[in-house]
Amino acid sequence: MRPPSHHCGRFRPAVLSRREMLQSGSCGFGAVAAAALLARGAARAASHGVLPAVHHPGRATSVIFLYMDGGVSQVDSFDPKPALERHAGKDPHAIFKVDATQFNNIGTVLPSPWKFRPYGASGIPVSDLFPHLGSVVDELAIIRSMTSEFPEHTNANYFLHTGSGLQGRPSMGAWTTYGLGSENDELPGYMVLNGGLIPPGGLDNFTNGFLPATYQGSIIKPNAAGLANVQPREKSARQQLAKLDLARRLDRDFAERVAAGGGTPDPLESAIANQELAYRMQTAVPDLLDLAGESAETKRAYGLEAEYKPTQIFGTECLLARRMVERGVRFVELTCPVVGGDRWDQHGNLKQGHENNARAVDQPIAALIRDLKDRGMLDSTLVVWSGEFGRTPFAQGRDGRDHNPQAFSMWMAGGGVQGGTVTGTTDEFGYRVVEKKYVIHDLHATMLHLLGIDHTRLTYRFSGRDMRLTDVHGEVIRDVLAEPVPAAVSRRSSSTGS
Amino acid sequence: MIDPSQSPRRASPARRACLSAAYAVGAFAVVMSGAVPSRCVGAEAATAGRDGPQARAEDLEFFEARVRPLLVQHCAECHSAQAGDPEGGLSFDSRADFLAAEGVAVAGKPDESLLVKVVRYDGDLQMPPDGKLPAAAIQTFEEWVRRGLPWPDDGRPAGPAQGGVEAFDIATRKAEHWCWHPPRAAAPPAVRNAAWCRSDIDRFVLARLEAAGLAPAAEASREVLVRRAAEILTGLPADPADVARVTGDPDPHAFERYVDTLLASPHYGERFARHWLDVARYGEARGHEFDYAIPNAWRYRDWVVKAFNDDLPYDQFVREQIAGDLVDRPRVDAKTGANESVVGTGFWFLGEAVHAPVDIAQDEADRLDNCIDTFGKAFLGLALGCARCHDHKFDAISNEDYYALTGMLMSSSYRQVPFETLEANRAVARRLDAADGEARRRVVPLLAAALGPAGDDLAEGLARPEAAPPAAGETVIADYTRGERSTPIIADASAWGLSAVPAGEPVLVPAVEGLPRELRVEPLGHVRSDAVWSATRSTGERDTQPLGNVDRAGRVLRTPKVPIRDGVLWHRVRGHVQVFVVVDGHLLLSGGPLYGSHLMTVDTHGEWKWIRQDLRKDLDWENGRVVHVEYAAVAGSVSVAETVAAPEQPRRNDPAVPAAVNRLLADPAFDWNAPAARLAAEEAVASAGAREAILADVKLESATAPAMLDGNGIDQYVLLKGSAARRGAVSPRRFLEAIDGPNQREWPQRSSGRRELADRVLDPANPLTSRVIVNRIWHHLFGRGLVPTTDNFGKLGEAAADPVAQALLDGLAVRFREEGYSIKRLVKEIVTSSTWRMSGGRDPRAVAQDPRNLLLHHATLRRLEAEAIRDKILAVSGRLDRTVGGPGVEVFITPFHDGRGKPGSGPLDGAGRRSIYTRIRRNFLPSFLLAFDMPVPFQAMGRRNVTNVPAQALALMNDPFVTAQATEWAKKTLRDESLAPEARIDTMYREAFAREPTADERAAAVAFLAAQAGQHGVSLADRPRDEATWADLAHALINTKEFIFVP
Repeated sequence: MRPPSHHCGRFRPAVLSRREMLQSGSCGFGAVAAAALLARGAARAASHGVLPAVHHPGRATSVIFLYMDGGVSQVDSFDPKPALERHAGKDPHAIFKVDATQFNNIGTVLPSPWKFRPYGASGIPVSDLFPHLGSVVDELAIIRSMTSEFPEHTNANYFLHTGSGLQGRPSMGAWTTYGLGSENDELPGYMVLNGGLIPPGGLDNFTNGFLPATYQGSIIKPNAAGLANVQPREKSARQQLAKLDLARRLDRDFAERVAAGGGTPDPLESAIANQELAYRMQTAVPDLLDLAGESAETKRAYGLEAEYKPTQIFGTECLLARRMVERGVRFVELTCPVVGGDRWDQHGNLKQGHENNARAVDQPIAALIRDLKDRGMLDSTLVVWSGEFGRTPFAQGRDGRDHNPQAFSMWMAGGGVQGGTVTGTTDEFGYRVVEKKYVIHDLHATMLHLLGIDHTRLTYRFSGRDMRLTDVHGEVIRDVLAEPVPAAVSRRSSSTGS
Repeated sequence: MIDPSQSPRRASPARRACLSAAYAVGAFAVVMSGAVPSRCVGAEAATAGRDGPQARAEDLEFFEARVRPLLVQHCAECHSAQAGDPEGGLSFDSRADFLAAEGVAVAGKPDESLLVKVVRYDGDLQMPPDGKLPAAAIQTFEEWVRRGLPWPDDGRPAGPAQGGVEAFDIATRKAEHWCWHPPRAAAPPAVRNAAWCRSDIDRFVLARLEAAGLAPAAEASREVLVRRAAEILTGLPADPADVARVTGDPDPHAFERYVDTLLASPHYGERFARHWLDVARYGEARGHEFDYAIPNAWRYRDWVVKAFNDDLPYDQFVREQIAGDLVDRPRVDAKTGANESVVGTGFWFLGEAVHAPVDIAQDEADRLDNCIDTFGKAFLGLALGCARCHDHKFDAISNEDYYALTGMLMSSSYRQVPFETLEANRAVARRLDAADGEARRRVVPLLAAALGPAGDDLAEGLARPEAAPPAAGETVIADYTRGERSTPIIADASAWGLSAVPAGEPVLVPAVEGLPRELRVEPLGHVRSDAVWSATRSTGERDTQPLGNVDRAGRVLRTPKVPIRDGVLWHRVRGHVQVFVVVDGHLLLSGGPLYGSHLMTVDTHGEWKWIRQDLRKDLDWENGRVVHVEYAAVAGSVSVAETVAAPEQPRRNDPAVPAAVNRLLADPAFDWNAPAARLAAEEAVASAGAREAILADVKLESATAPAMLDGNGIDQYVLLKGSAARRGAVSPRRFLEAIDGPNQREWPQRSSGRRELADRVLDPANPLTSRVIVNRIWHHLFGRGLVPTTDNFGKLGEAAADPVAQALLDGLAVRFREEGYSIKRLVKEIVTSSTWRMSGGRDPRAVAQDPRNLLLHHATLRRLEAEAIRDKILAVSGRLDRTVGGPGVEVFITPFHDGRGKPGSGPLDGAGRRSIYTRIRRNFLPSFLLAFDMPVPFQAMGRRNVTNVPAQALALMNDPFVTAQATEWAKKTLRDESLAPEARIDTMYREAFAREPTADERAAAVAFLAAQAGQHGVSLADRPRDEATWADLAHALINTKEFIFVP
């Protein structure tokens, strides 16, 4: 099998077994499926987005969202704060105004246990938690002034994913595929690679919400089991084909009978088409998950042979993310693997916990960025790295950090982003933003912008109003863009009604 | 940027803060306690400049040269009416606009001006949000304020913003939109083909078709009608015997009679209950991080099922959900005596809840928002939630309307109600109250006589109990010491009696062990839960721990809700009691790290004690909070006298007389043999005996259900931009102004007003309620409502397609109300109409002319809902357990279910129960049902998505539930060994499609069986009875579209 080598909307792997399968049913379901492939029938319609064209040229065509579950500490990763050393051990109340935190077990000012050092041509400092990320820092546009509105995980997760702290709103992946559709007829347009942790708030972080279910995140595990119900239960492909052939034949008669010659009703047409897509997914998904064709070098680079098991898992996720993007999947989200202790949520034992989590993701992410670049895919792939909030610069108890929605660091890479840059400033403690405060809506607006979408114009009428990913907010974060914003989209969003 | 709430931990829903926000510093207005409404700093601060001295020319120049550029550059982006809604209502467009937003600046006093503070970044509200201005710019603002805010008047009038946003005027909005106009029953239009019409419905529909030059499709065959009726009315496939019977019945009314049997089936109630559960955002767990269970939520589900099956008139159905705890005569189950009405109020508690929110006031606002939103959509078809942060942008719903309704919910609280014993024990409490009064009348005069001079005081003291005057700094939350003038008793059942026990009440206390009881008087007025109530047991689930460590149901005394300023409470109690302080309505404790101080259990071992409870560790009290206290008896007799918020232990001059009396009675010198004393003691013993006899009737064991507990009336503030930390003016409780006008009668102060709310919702003058439900029923029967947006009749909903459809809806709505709100009657009228009986035959001309079938020229093909698909698979396989009601079956957990609070997995086939009985755990929704668009229960969803996604096909192809049921179906099909394969195929067709197969289909199946048998390597002899082969056929049939689409 020849591994696909470029990002192409028409990608279709030439899998021998599948061709066999199609041939074996040459006058039955398989033939129908093949015909549908060529004719781009109703299944194609289902994967189309609502936008007839992008609003403006966008560099990115796909998104890989690296979700850092629990909230990475900004002052220990991308936002060095030497002042913490000076004030180490002091009561923060005596130095600045301290807000109530979730646990309100406020200890003393806690300097970072990690050293920062400059990397790359840009010389941007990165902490020793992320040496691999440091090595690709010239690709990263770091934003140190991101904020959230919610100090606890669930609402903050919904907010990060859907632009609303409430449950049940469409996730950004759903909005993106709703807008742009998918470029692959054999895979869903929005896929979530579940490394083991599902964020607090559950699967609703990946929901289509009120958008049609076509746009919901399909959750895939980074192992052979993959996707729910994708494995045929028949002993042989022929057995399943025979069933589907029979069903298909009966469906034709049914359509004829029920419509009395008036043409097949749309729902029937697309249900039939979806059965064909589902049939194709049975091979497309295992093909996607089959890493046999990846070189040993690639696997090693991603950390698939790492000593630390969570690194292997996340490495597999990153590699699969690249394979999905190659296949035209529009939006891929990665969740973190379980590292034994907690996710990035170190209310205690900051040193060990953050080190474990970083160890799991650092090498794979750097490998992903490098691999995308080597393959010429980075420019069209927007990589986003973020937690739901940051952490306090003072201790929770002795050696933890509590939630801090008032300032945190995140970064983007590829997809029209200007790498090697830092945007925004926090106060000398990294506690609050003092310059260029951004909110999640701004992040969403920026992501959509890079995809060529004006976030104010991607709407869905629900519950009496035109809903948006950015609600009535959001401004494109211009500082991270490689190209200036065209005049037509630089205007500020205006309110729509509610 | 952060809102000015002093609480950046949770910013308001509308982040862009509002400079003009009036800073309300009062707490909630509580009608009963007479707390003062908010003071508005904004009103005092600063409007100077409005009528100030004429600005000098150089000041104006300063403004133009220095200030205006700053405003344009840094402020106008958000604070301009020209771009739409200026943030926080503050616009810098003109002098008049700026001055109209009060409280922004105090002319001449930069240090006191909010404007200067925010640009200095001095506090949590910081402007502009994207970074602090250079020092020079800040100085310019300071200078501008110092100079008295000079700004040339550019002649634009002050007033509502000009531009994009339509001014909010209720009268105009009402006039302009149909839903506010009362429905009228119009005579059906004339039609040419009168013979086609069976009812008025048909006359409306046909008139419309004829006007368009179209004809209705032919009537569907009887067998199609039977299948359609069974699956649409009961959500289960038609019984093949019924199909045979009805299709063979020469009676022209055979179909009508079949509809009657369907409506009489208990499965009809299950089917329509599921529709309503979508509207009620029904869930059995609270979502959020750990997905804690909502205890006994399924009682509400069963209540809905029974309501539909009993054809409970819709007005009562609505009333009991809004205020079933307050109806004059609750519906009582004839067999069990259970109060059914109260269970309906579970409606309010089916939403999500957060177990330990950091900002509990905001959490309450969010939770109530879900309630108001659901209420509005469910009963009124209005998006009330849109009016949370501002007047509705398009509908006649004001910001005040929203908070007027919210107040009613804040005035109510949650309980697990022991509904089975509620009425019986209420009767016991009534008898007990009468007996206690009687005992008082008999014993007190005798005792008084026995006591001599001290006795006069006793008699008088009982009549006029002394008041305990609160000291400075105290807030009395509840005072039960004052006999009849005590704080009203609010309790979740009858354990705490109907009236307070006055000080001086004679009481028998056990003397030294082994000796008879002695007569004493109560030293202190109080309310009491007799020991027997501590022996009650609830048979259902309890509240989440640690709250549920005590079997609370039926044992709870609830104080009024009162705003307090500091977090120290004092409880004067006697006995073993769980004390739970509910702050800002937050009740889900669940052992989280927060709010541990809110719950404690104390035992005073029979003594009166002041118990201190310090809540300051867990919360900040800067802005005060609204609290109520719930006392639950743990064991034995428990008494509560007072609940006080105070920094120090309250000092009380306890009534002197009872103490003096008790001293006399305890004195060994007291002569118990004196006639009056002896008589008093005998009467007391007799009364105690009568009491015991009454208490013996207490019913101890009851199931419980989540329900409303009504409290004192609270009016809520308008929360600016929906933020709990930013209060505007009080919005007194009332119904929507657009329906009931601006001058409504005052809402009750001693109760929430939900009873009145139900009255208003059901008032014949309310143009919405009947229309909304009639339209819902139409939607369920046709797959599309006459008003397609079933939950939104507002301006942004989709109106009826044309005036004829509108008239049809209105006529049905009026008759529905006038004829007694019977849903079954409405259903029957619709499904027996000629309109509903049309076939799916599509006239190409009609399809071209009206592709969406808005005119109803044929029956629209509909995919079955998720539950109906699963139920049908169970039905055909023979696995269906038709038991109605009861606790839910745990959801089947797949490898793709993950997250905190994951329950143990239920069986793959859901124990064969209908899908409505699968537990709805918010974070672990049943994956098979989700694939087919079962809604995520977060808000009212009267109209489901109907999607077509590959996940559905994958589920039918490969889900182990489906393949297992295919095998079951095969086994059942093979059971009768005498049948030929063709006969078996026929049976399967009847079961799945309610029809006979065609000859072609039969032949195709036979050929398929042969081919598959070959695939399986089955010997020729075994082929006719090979289970795997037949399971393949069953599986193929399940995968046909005819299986899941209703023709």
